[in-house]
Amino acid sequence: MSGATAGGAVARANASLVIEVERVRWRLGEFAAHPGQWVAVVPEEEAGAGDPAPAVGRVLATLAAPAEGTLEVLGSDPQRLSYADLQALRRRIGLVQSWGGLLSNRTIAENVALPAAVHGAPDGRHAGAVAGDMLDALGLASVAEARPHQVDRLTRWRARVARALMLAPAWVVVEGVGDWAPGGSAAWSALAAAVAAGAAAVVCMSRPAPAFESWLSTRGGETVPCRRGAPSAGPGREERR
Amino acid sequence: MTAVDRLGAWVLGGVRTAYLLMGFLYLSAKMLWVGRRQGAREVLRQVLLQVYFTGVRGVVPVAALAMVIGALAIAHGFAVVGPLAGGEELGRLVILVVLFEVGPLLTAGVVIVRSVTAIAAELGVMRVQREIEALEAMGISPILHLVTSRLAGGLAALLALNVVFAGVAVATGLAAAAWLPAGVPEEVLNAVLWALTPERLLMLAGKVAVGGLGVLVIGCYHGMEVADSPTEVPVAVSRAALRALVFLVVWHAGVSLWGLASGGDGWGRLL
Repeated sequence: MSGATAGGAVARANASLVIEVERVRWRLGEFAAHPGQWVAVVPEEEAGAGDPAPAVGRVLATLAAPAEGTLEVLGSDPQRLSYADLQALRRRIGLVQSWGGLLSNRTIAENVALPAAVHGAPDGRHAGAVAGDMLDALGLASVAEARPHQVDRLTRWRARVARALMLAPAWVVVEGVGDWAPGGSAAWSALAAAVAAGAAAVVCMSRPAPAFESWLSTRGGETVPCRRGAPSAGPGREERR
Repeated sequence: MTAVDRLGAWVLGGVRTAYLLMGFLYLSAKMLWVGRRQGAREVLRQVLLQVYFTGVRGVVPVAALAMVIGALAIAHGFAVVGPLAGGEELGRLVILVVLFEVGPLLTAGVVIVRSVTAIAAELGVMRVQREIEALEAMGISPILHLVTSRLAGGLAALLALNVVFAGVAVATGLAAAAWLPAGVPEEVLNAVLWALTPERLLMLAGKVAVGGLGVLVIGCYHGMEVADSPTEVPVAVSRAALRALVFLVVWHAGVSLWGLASGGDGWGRLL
């Protein structure tokens, strides 16, 4: 598995990607994300029924296949990889979910340390030590021993950012803008540092956010439109049962 | 739809479910090899947690049941069989009925009530809360870390609980026999030792292991089957409990009938 697609992009949609969940379709424009680059997938209108951010995030993080089009991540087409190779690829991807995702039977510190505890930290250090540094950097040290349900929504989001960055990913997929604020935040500073260090990041937005898009454009970010398509004629989940 | 259509659909549904469960079990076993470099300590932690929840915390209800069953078997056995036979036959009754039939069934029943439902609920909630999706995104196999570990831990705990049940039932039975006329306790003890042959114990271990693996796989499968709606979790839990119970009864009845059909007490002639 090479480290980049042809042309040096970390991730590339070779044609318009069509993403379909529960008979709701979104069509993304073509894009190529290079090392050190931000990309934002922005819906053209308020989403209404169905939030595009998790659906788009799942596809860009290789967890689901697009209904149409092909996505290349780190030089590989995820659909053509064996399960073992796909898992190896996912170790180099950091997904920041917009909600959920933290293991409720573990503390914040254990959640953040989990990727390194399973795969080993990139620099060979102890998973707990790397997680400790990450918790400090994101202002999570005071809640390290709390369970996810014991902290507020934005703290959980920061914990998801910390966990996504634990293995120094080359491709970071962020669902929603989380605790972003014009004045900056610890989580977005950490994400920006990862991008500055050579990762590419895509922000999958639930709705247009001009202030955030403006912030991104000052960093050379590319905006990819996301259009809602006509519903598919196939059976929905309820009908398939 | 005619009755034949309904019967056919029911049979086909059962075959499909059995096929899916076998595939799920195969995948769980395969992950031991495919995911061998995926944090053995984390997997071991999950195994030990399952041993604790299913085994350690299940000791009290299983021991309580074993005491009641062991004492009742002796008391009723003596009242009904004792006058006709003797202490040795009473001991065989305790061993064959209580330890080889009732014990494994009740112990697995306790595991279904306490652990299979809990596993189905936990995995279902993890699905809804996108925790399993998060594991997949990190390149961590949810099957290895959540299913294989629960199967291993649950099975080890179930085997241990059967030993607890057997020990407590025999001890209670012997204590109850102490109230009977002189000589009966010794005859009961001799019958117990006579019945506990390596062949019978091996057969019992196989019966318990397959039955236990079956109910645990059913719990994990229905938990992982939940998609994204919280309303699917209670459905998955009730479906897991019912199917596990049906499987358990059919499996135990099948093994016992097979043993009886092979002659004798059904246990000595099987191997």
